[in-house]
Amino acid sequence: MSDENLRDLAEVDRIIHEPARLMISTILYTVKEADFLFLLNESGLTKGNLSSHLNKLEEAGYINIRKIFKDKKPQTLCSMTPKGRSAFEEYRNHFKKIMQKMNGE
Amino acid sequence: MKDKIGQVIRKTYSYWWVDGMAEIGMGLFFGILAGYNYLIESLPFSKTLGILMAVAEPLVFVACWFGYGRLVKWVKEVFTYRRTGYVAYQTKNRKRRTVGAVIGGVLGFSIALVINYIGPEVLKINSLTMIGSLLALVTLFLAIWYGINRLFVVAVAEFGLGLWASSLALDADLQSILLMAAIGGIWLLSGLAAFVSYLMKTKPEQEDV
Repeated sequence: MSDENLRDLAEVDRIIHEPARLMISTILYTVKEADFLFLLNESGLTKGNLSSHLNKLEEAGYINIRKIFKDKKPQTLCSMTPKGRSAFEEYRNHFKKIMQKMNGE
Repeated sequence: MKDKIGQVIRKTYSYWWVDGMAEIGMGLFFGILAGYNYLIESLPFSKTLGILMAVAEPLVFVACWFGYGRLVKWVKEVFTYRRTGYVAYQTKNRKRRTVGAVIGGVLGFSIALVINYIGPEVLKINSLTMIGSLLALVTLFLAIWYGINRLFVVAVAEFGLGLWASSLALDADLQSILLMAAIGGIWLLSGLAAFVSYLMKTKPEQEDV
């Protein structure tokens, strides 16, 4: 791997690049909104882990989290913000370019 | 990495099929259409009423579609969202809806052309065999794209039913009605099997407060 590729890798969005957060971001990018239970089932993470990753994404302004009560039961709804969408698209494009460069070597 | 992201996206979309409701809806849709057409064909309606019923068929289509949407929403609220979570998919904007409608129209016209002209006139294939084969192809595409194995069985059954219906020594209209009903039955069976399996594999969950 060349120095240039290493530099490119260092520039990827680390908030999204972490595997669990990448999976959560991909899911939320695909849908309009999803609840905690869905993300839990799809990601296979523990409740604590998922909460922690969701908080990091929320702190970065990439997702919105709102808590509601439905039929007297708590429900946490998550959706991706426009900032999160463009960050995810940028990440995908950036990573695609890196992979193309690496495969071209 | 690109493939992994693609896989997650497809898996997220395939959640729509997790409880078998999509198939049950398709089954009911075909079943109602078959029943409606059977009514038009078999009952001793007056000519005027027969024409009215035939003209009203697109409305039945639309009513079935809305009814299906409401049924799916209700079942998902009661069973699916409480067990494996809630998800709302992106709604298409006006441009994407227009493009979708144009593609749908072109596709519908092409399919009608294949079924009614190219199949029987050029390829010398019975139109019911063509319908079965085309439905099988669409189902095969869904099976591969969403990664739902049971749809491979449905696709094979549709192809077989197309051949079976075209071999029946019956009036052409009755053959079509039987094919619609049989295909509806296959979708319904597949959906019910998936729904029972889903209920057995999952249980209602709740978030911690």
